[in-house]
Amino acid sequence: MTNQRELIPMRPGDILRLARQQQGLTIERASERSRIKPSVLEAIESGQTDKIPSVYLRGYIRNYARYLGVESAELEPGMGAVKGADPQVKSIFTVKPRRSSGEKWLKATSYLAASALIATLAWQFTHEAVRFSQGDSTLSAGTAVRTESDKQAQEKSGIPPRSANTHLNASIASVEARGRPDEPASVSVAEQAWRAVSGPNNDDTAGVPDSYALSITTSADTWVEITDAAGKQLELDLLRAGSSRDYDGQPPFDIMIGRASAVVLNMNGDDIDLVPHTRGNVARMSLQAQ
Amino acid sequence: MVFKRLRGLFSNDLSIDLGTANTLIYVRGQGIVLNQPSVVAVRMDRGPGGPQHVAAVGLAAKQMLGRTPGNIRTVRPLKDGVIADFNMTEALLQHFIREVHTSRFLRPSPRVLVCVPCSSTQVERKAIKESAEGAGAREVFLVEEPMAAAIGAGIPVHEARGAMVLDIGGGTSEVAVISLNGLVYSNSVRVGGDQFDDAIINYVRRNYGTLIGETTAERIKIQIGCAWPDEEPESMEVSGRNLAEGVPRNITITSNEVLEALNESLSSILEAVKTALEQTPPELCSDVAETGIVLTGGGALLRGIDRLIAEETGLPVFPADDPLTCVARGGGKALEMMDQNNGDFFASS
Repeated sequence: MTNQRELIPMRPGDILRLARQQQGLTIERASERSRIKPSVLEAIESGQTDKIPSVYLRGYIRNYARYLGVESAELEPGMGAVKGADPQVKSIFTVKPRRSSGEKWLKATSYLAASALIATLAWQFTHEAVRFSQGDSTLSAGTAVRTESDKQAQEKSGIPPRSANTHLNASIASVEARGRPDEPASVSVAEQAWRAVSGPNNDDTAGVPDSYALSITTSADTWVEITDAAGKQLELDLLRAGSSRDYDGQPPFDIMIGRASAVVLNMNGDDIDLVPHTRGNVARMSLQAQ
Repeated sequence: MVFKRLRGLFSNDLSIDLGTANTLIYVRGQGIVLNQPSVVAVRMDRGPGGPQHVAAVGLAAKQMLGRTPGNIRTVRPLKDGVIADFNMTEALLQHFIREVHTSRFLRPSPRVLVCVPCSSTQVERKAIKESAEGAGAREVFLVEEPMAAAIGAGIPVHEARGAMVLDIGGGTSEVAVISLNGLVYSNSVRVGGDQFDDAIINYVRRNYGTLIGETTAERIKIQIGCAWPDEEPESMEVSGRNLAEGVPRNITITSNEVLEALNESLSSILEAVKTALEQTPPELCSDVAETGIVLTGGGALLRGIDRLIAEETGLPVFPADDPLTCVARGGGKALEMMDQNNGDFFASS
């Protein structure tokens, strides 16, 4: 029988029933001695234990086994299969739930509000940054265009010229400059059409080159940033001493040189004097077409 | 605090078993996430009386217990299940509440359910409540330990039927008769695992002339401690300081000697159980006689304690599954049901 038990783990109820029968005890007698109710003992032996809470059931089985002298090692393999009732925590009186579903909404709303706030801030920040950088590069171009257009307007209407130094004018100029590109484009389309009709080398304006050649020679390490009128970044790097670079692009160029004293700047073969644009050895300038 | 409610939305409800020996935290929807000794190590930088900083909490602090240099002091802020050192309890709770909240975005402000000994006084309950509030809790509920232990053990507490629980904790042992989600009778004696340790220390000093530390005594209790005489006694070798010679000496102690040492503490627990049976209304007493007594708490792990109580009372006695975490699990179940049961189980403060 021992072999049989080792092969198939028996249910604890069966082991206990066999042990009781071997000792020649009735359920009543066993109940008296083990202090467990006869109905409970019957339930354990037959395996009908669904109604007994597990905490009691396991205790009853262990106590009964101890009383019958059954080793706990024999029972343990089958204990996992013993299922008792698992009582739920219940209220004696029915009550309304205290936590309203509103709390869930409040949580969702605060998540939404927080993310909306962050999104707005992020958008504003990036937008400002873009505007700032655009404003910076178009500002000089804007003023350049403005000076020309202002002159024309002055001739036409006689309005006194506005001071281009104020911040307000500068921003207006940049806005105007952004709205303007259509005009020169249409002009150049007309010009091209005219050129096509009248043949090559007829036009006086053909002598003005479209792209300008810049060259930089450095005698010491310096930071250089060059942006052309189209907003193309020609250079954004630390140039080593003794290096020499050439660029092609549309004027006006927006130039920043970290160590102006060590740089020779050359446009279309002409050396550019950096001194007027230098402040604290840093040169910032907008280089116009000559 | 205006943001307390908002912060609360992002905090988890907690159930804390703030025990003399161990603190367990159950997080709503997650289960028991923390089980650490209730010990705080304090660093005093400018000597005694100077500013104090919490150096370590929990397991790290327990390892320092009894082994600290002059500028570090290890404190067990709870004694006999109640707060003995208010500030340290607050530091302990604060540390543990932070630990179970992984989010660092907002300071946690959870609803907290704390288990208190049933015989604790109003002042003691108030102290626990305030200490939890000081640690950041936005609402504190109290539940009596035997109630939580019974729920955690899986006893059907809502039935109109008596059930007896004996919770032997670190500092207190509590016996209670429960019916219809409430305590019909409860009593607590200030005897628990700590007193067992003390009894072992005293016994070894008296009989062997050797002084052993708390940690060693606890190890003896866990390894060979028993409450019912063994047929084949186990023995264990420990080292302590010999009082006469002043040098470390090894001694061998047997399980039956430990039983002798624990005798007094065990008899006061038995006394409490017998008193409870006497005081319980007859209807419930007959229910208890049928169903028996369920043991919970660390003391239920003491070998033979169920046998001892069964022989003395004549009732079936058995330990619950995983008795150490019964109170925390029960507190957790009460927490999960908190919004439905309208505070059936909660104790008044």
